[in-house]
Amino acid sequence: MSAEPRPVSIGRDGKVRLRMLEPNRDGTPWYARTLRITSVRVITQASFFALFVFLLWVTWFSRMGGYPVSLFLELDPLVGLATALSTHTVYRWLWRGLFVLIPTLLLGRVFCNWMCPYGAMHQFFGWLFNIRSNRDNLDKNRYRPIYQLKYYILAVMLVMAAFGSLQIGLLDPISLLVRTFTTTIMPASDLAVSSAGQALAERGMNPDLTPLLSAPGAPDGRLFDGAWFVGLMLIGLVGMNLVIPRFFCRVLCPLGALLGALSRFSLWRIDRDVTKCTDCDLCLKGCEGASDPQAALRKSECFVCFNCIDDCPEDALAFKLSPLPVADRIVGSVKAGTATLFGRKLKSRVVATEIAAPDVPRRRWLFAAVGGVLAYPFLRLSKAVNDRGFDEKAIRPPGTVAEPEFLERCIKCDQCINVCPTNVLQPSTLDQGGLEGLWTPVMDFSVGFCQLNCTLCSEVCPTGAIQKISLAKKLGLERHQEDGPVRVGTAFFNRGRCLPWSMETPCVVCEEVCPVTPKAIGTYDETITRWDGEKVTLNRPYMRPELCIGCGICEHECPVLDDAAVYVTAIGETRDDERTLLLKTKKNV
Amino acid sequence: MSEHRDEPGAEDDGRAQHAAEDDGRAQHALAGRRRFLQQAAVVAGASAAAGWAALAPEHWPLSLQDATGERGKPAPRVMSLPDGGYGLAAVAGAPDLGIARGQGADVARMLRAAVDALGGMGRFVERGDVVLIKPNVAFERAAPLGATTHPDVLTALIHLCREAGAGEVRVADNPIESPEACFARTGLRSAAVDAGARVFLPQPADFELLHTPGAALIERWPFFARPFVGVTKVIGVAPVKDHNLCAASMTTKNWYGLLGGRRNQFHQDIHGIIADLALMLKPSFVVLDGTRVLFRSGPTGGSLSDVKPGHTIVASTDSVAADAFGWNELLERADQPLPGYFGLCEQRKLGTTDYRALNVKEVQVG
Amino acid sequence: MASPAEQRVFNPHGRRHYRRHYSLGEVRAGGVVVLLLAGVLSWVVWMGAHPDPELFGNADLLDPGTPVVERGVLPEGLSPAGFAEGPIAHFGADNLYEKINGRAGYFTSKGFEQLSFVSLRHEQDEALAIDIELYDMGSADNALGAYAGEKGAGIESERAAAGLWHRDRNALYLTHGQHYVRAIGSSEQPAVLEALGQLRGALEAGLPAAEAELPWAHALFAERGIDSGAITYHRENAFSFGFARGVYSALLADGETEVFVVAAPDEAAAGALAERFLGGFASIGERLSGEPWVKDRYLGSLAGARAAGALVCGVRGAPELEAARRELEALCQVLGALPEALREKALAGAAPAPEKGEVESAESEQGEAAGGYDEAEDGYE
Repeated sequence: MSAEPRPVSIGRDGKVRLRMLEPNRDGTPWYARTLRITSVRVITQASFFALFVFLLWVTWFSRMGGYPVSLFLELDPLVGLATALSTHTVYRWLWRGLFVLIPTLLLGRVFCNWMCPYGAMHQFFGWLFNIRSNRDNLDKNRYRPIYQLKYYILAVMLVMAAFGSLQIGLLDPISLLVRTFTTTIMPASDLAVSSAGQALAERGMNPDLTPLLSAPGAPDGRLFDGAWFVGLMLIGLVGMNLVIPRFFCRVLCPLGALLGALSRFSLWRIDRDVTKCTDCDLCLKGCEGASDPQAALRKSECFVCFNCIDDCPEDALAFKLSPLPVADRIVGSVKAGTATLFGRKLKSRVVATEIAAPDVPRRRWLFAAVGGVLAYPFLRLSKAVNDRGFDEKAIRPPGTVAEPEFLERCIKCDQCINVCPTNVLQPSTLDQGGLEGLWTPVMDFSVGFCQLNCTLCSEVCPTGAIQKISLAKKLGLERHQEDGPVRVGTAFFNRGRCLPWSMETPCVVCEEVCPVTPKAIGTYDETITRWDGEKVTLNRPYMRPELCIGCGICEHECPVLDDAAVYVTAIGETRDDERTLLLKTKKNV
Repeated sequence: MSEHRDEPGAEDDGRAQHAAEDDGRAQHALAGRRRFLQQAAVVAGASAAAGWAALAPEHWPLSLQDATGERGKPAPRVMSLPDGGYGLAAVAGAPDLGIARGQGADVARMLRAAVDALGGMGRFVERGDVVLIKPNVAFERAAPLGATTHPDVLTALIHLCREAGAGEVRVADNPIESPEACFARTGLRSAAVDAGARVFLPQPADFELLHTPGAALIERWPFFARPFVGVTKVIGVAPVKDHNLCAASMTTKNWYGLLGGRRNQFHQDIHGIIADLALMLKPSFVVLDGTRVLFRSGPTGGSLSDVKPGHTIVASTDSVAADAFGWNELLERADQPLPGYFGLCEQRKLGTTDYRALNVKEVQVG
Repeated sequence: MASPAEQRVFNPHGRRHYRRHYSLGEVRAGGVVVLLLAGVLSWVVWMGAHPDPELFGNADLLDPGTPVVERGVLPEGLSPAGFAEGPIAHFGADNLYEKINGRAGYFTSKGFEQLSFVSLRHEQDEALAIDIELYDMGSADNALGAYAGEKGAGIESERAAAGLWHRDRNALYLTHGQHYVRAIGSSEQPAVLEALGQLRGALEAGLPAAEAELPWAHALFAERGIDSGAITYHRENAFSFGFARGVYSALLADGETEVFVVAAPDEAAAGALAERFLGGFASIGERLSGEPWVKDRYLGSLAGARAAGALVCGVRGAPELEAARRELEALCQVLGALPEALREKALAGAAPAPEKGEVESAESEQGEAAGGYDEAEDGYE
């Protein structure tokens, strides 16, 4: 190849020439090249990625308005299918998955290379750091058996979902990306913006950087339990693009596997004209899905990126409606070079043009399904997710359905954690949720507290793991008065660490901040003679458990920071009759 | 090499060849020497620089030496507010306490009347001033519940400042609950933004240690510093509230919301803290919003039955006097002794509780 | 050493490609895609501008749920000036103990049906409050019975619009038809006492209309100079006799002698009932031969009963026989001279006497212990 033409050049006559506006050698106008289909694809990918980031940016109290902030999660047909398997219902907006499902049945895996923000991210980084020669690129983009792995992952997860354990969120690309943005990328960018603001302020400038922050008004900066691991996954998965392009999409992605399995039915596909194809293999140079366009196209692997069409010097490739396999129409010997198709001489020596189904033998599907059958009891019989032995700090946000139903629904996308204005919602670690509940939302009152007038987590949840509740329902007002407020836990006093109880020191921050009316924290007021003879009045706090909703602001504000003298545990939550504390708050439903 | 030279009868071209060889060797040797010298210079330079940085006495330039471990600790940036705070020199004959009363009168008119009683906003705000208004946004409560400054009062105050020619008006507070939610649900964010003020929500990097000489408990404490950059006037505007711990929360307690850090320790000596707050921030003047009074269940409130109308707005250059007025006439607790922090403030000459002794101007509105 | 190509950091080729021909069809398809994109983006923008107002509502200003609790018979606008109502609560016979533990048995034995409770709190002074307990007793007789049973000695009742009332220190007691009201103030401050006065008017005006006239026995006892407030009504189990239902009794001025009347369905039943009373008295005493009198074995007091038409009257606890005879005689005379209207009322309300041998009602706890073992459940309830 000769040197790349420059994007802008100045001709001998002194005129500035934009390369993108030059006509093509085949006589078509400039825009046939500049606005060719791969350019449109890049624009679309960039728009969807921008929309994805925008929707995460507006997932915040002051910006939310009516934006469909969990749109991408709802569009994800794997979320819809897997929750339909686990719950036998389709929650709220999950029907929007049809907007991806139907195009897949018509056009193939267009989602992967046109809409998926995670795919766009991998493609971008893979492209940006691609310094390989053409020959290396052809090698890297050939199909490999390891690409079957995603189908096994999908099979295991769907079987588990059918049993009631939803684990697709671990690797579902949208859930994974939302989680990654929430717990790592956005807090990191906030840290950067905040530090920049401070640096500018030190130089006497005072710009308003609020629009650049993902969480303005979070006074201590957001932090997330176990963010390091999510971050490590991000670095690892993006970094793998340098070794195998689109590593995640080709090898791991369960959504890709689902769409791949469905795309065997797609009406359109890339078709190779064997009378034009010279077997140069250049189409492999930019093949995103490693779908072998140079030979029999693997429909299940093709991302419909159209790079192969861009790279075909013979115009042998085209996206066609329902092309027929041509192998049985060939007359003559391919080996001897005498073969013809409809009277035209065959140039390619590879006559097969299509492999419709994923390259997974039936036996392996079966083994994967058995893996799912076994994985279910292994996970569910762990202690953390059961009514006996659940962790005291597995405190779920208000509106959460009972634990078994929760595990059928939560995809660990962490949108609730993203929208939470006080940062109290944290991705669960193995301690609180076991492996099955990893990254599901739990409340950590050492970080934040549950804001009384707030139901945002229930609004953004795409699957109803946190069921949408109104404020009146959360607080037990109006027609919900009989049901009482939603309780997420109960506060307890550790008198041994409480300043008025054990240290002769006035305090009662907890009583002051208790937001319910009447207050769930009362005080015994006593005047005592201190060790040094001084008289002090101590307001010694106590709990009124029937009034406590477990919001945890007492624990959050307690000055005994490291191990608060008033602390909330999960007992007493109203989502499950098995986990109530008081007889009279039991609903007996 | 020498053998060749010594050999007799050497031919010209042979000599030339030799010469060329010699020349090549010499050049090679020269290049080798240059290379050696370069490398040696790099090694020496790097060693010397490292040695200097590590061993040079601390006060020498570019020294990094830290023999005790003290030098490596971060030096906290400590700020202080201007001497004398943001107060203005007393104007002879001008009232110190302006009281506007009015049944069902327009809040904006009442506020204007109260400030006019002090001599008008022009006494405090000059053209081009950067004014910081500190409302009480402590809780995520709707305005009618009286737990926070009423948005109408804030709006009116911002308008007065802008009329007086303020170059910029800022509104800042560090609430206990989520700042976003507090500013939104109290209506104070939209009130401020609509009136043309800039709202500062606290960010982690916005706090700096504030040095308050003479403060007993908070001589150095994290302070919401960012909104104070370039500020020339400070106005506090607080509601009248009952308080479970310090009995009453008004304009002096209002400065609590400018601090950050471990505020939950303040309850251990709340009166001492409030007296320190009065010392820490001396405002241009304060406004006590007595249009509604949270007379019980303070400071959070939460029920409309805890709120009664007060029909009064007070403006004062002395926050202690304004609070004492609020205690007597708005909370109507004249029969009870003033809470402890009043005495502490008075001892330190931060204000007077005997507001009647001041130059008071009272006006009836509407 | 890596080749120069490998020393690069970024892709040097940009979007290099090898095709030779371009097609306008791709541009057209791209146009369609861009239009779809624009549609999606404008939909998102439109959605953003139309938030769900409820999502950002403020719970503080939500109605804290009055509609759930019905006012029941509690009149609207009950609060006297300066007081505000607290939450209303209702209790039935099965959970009355939650509200008035220890006293629930008293009311259930007197025919209790429902308690409506509301607390009034002074708007300025939190210490001032009035707790109102409104008991629906099912009938005026029951209400008056519960009322009289709680009245302190030596307090005169006054006639109310449809019942009786009196005030005792900081408490107001009132019956109105089948309702009995206790309103207890937190103190005897003038504000509370004045509020109690207003409360009586509000209750009488607001409670369901009831017959102004008191039950028949009151008129009867009035003839004998007995104040209405002193009359006790025993819905069942009078004097611990399982058979004795619907008995009115009153203590005379001497503080010992108690007179009682009860209606029977007819004359024969009245005679039998009088005999049963005597039999009952005789279980702890001795029958004076030939006379309708029994002398208590332990106290020496006298008790007797007689039928007068379909009504039965009696005396018990009398210290001395002659006085007792006189009292019984006088009572019988009044009974005999009872105006026809009253007599009809009395007979209309008469409880058919339980038959012997039937099982005693389980709900009359004392009946069982007090020799009522042979008495009967008549099943009229």
